[in-house]
Amino acid sequence: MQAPTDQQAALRLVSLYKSYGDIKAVKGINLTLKRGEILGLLGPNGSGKSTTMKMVLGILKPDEGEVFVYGQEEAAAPVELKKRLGYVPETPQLYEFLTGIEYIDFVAEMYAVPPAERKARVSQFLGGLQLAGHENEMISGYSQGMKQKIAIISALVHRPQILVLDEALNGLDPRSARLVKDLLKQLASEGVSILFSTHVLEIAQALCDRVAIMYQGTIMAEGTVAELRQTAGLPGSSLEEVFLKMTGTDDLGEVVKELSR
Amino acid sequence: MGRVYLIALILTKSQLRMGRSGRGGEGIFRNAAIIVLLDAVCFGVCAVIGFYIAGAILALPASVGAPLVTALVEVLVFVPALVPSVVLVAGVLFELSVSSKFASSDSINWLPVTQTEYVVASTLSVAYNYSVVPSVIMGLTLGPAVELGYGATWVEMLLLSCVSLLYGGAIVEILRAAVNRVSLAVMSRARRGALVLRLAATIGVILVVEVIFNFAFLLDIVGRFQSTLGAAAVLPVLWASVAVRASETGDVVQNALFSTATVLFTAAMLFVAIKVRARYWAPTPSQVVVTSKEYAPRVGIPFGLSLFGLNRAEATIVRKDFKGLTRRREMLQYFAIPFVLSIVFLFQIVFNPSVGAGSVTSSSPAQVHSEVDQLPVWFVGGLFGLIISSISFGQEGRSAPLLYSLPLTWKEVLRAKIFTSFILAFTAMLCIFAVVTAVSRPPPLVFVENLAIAASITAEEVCIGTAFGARYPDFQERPRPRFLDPIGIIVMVIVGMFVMVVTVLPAVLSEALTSFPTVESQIQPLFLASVAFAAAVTGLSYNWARRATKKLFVEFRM
Repeated sequence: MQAPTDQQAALRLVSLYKSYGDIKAVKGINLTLKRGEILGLLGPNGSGKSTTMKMVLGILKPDEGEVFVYGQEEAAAPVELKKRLGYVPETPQLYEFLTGIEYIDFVAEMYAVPPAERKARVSQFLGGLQLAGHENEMISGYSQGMKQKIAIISALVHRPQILVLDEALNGLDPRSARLVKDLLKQLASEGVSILFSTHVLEIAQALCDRVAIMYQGTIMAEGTVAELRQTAGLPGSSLEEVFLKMTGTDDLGEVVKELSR
Repeated sequence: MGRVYLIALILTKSQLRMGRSGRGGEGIFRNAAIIVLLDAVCFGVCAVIGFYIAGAILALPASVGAPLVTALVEVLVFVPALVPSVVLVAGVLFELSVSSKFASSDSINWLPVTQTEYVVASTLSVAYNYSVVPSVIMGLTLGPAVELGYGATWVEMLLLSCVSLLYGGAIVEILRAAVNRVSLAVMSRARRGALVLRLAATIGVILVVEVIFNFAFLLDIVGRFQSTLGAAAVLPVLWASVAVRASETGDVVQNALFSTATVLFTAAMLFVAIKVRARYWAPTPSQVVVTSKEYAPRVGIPFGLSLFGLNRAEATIVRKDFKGLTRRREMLQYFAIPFVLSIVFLFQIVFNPSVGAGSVTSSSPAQVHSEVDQLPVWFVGGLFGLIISSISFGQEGRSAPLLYSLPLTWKEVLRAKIFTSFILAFTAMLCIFAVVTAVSRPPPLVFVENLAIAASITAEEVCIGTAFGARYPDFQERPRPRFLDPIGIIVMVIVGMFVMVVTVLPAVLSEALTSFPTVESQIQPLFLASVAFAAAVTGLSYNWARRATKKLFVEFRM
């Protein structure tokens, strides 16, 4: 099945639904990620962001709806389309019995990255993210930030065309976080499409071309930050204020008073 | 003392709820007193059984019953040594199966608790957790003790067994701290060699424990108790038994001496446990460097795995799984399975010399019986294959979503998993088969037939285990992971054992028929029937494994 023509779409989510028993985690979302775009996916805990991302990756199967990657339905050719995707989960669950380099090598092997190219890229990433010297240690001894770096390298080693990053900057030191943000911008300028979720609205504001606000399984609003300000009726305000108003969670004053008693 | 009690209570609840993720606080397992209830029920039921057995034995004619009465009396002596043995076996195996991630992040490591408080509490908790064992034993022995007039001895045996339970718990604490420290020291220095060393050491510990507490071995020791009392007196673990023996014979002085010595030995073990933990316990996982070589990506499929028809992705998964099996602490115990099974079999030969090699061409019933007793050789590969394949999916744990997000097909994952399990099980089967063949030296035809059956059983059990592993995986990461859903475990064991028995039935029948030369012409078809049946089961279970794996990889569900 071919998606409706949209030459700009790297990723297209059409009427996705997903439930866990009685809990409706994702309720009919429609989302388009253009080529070379960084799309921020924002939402409170439990809004369905991670579930949406897992459906894109094929970790979860939608109850309804389709996922299109470069116009092709993912369900029809999952293996081929996964080769174009890179993924950093919210909490990387790496094989802790492997060393950092063994894990990256394992993932690179799955994506059939040529050995010569693999060595060069891995060395660059290890040096850039300050993991050089630790790559031969077992992941079980890594800090959370080091594990996050390994996950990021694994997502980038095969030069994916679409990156799906779920809270990818969690646990990174400031230098590494800045490096990753700059790298993402560079990749986007080279045509890589990035779906990026975060709780840190300042990062979303600085990094993302467009933002989609998700709440209770649906997309509440979508657009550039300026467009969202217009929609929320809050011109000149921060993304945080827009977000809180969109999600109906801007009545924090009373809560603060209660907690401080 | 209140703090010690509180810590012991928490440790006990933790142990009770360990395998019940998400529901640990509900139901009867909320209360640690459930163990007391369990002990009381076990004691009561076993006491009834014990009285019945004692009555039945005493009702037998003297010529038949006398040896049994003697044996019952010997068992009373043996109990105080058996109790800590069971605690040690269970405790050691538990410690070896705990994931190092959980062992090191235990909150006890960072709470303001002294080593003395923790060790005493942990010892009490271990003793309490395993108290069902002495409850069963004491229940079973109450009847014989009362009927034979050893009531006072039974009471003393009860008290000494409780004391023995404590020093069993203390020794577990010593082992826990020592294993942790040795592991850290080795792992931080010896690199890849450390991983091999840890694997060998783990198997060694399990084997030693299995040898020492093997039932055939222990029965032999019990039989020699009377004659080796002098030797037993220098072994602290047997002092309680010496005291019970003295009570039976009315030797008050020896009784008091060895009872006191047992209590002092227990106190000494507790003291040592406290000191060892204070000195050697290190809560943080070590930084393990596997190699210092520069990274060099492999070119081509390694280890000739392409010869087995594996593609690059499948070979990579196989390599990854082998590393996991040999490096993960909670997986090391599985490697001990074929060795343990072999020990069980070999001990039957060593301590029961009537079992041994026989010739299939012999028509003597005794020789036929000896052939039948070699059946465990056929089963080693099968049992190991069943277990190792059943955990192949669940052992992915929380990393399982990675396999879903990578460009892999479910067929590739299945082929890789089955290949890994089969290679391990087949290798174990061949090694043990080689040893047994070297010892028994059967004729060539017998060798070929037995090898064919052993290989067939291994193949069918690997496929059965894989099917169950794909159908009932448990990806939860726990302090003591099980990798397979409990229902899956139960059904798999029943099905696996049943299939093995049915598979060998024609072959066993063939062995029996060798005692009747007139039906010799039927021997080959019956062996072939066993192999054919195994092949059919292999095919069916492989198909089931395919369906289960395909369904499993629709989406990831924890």
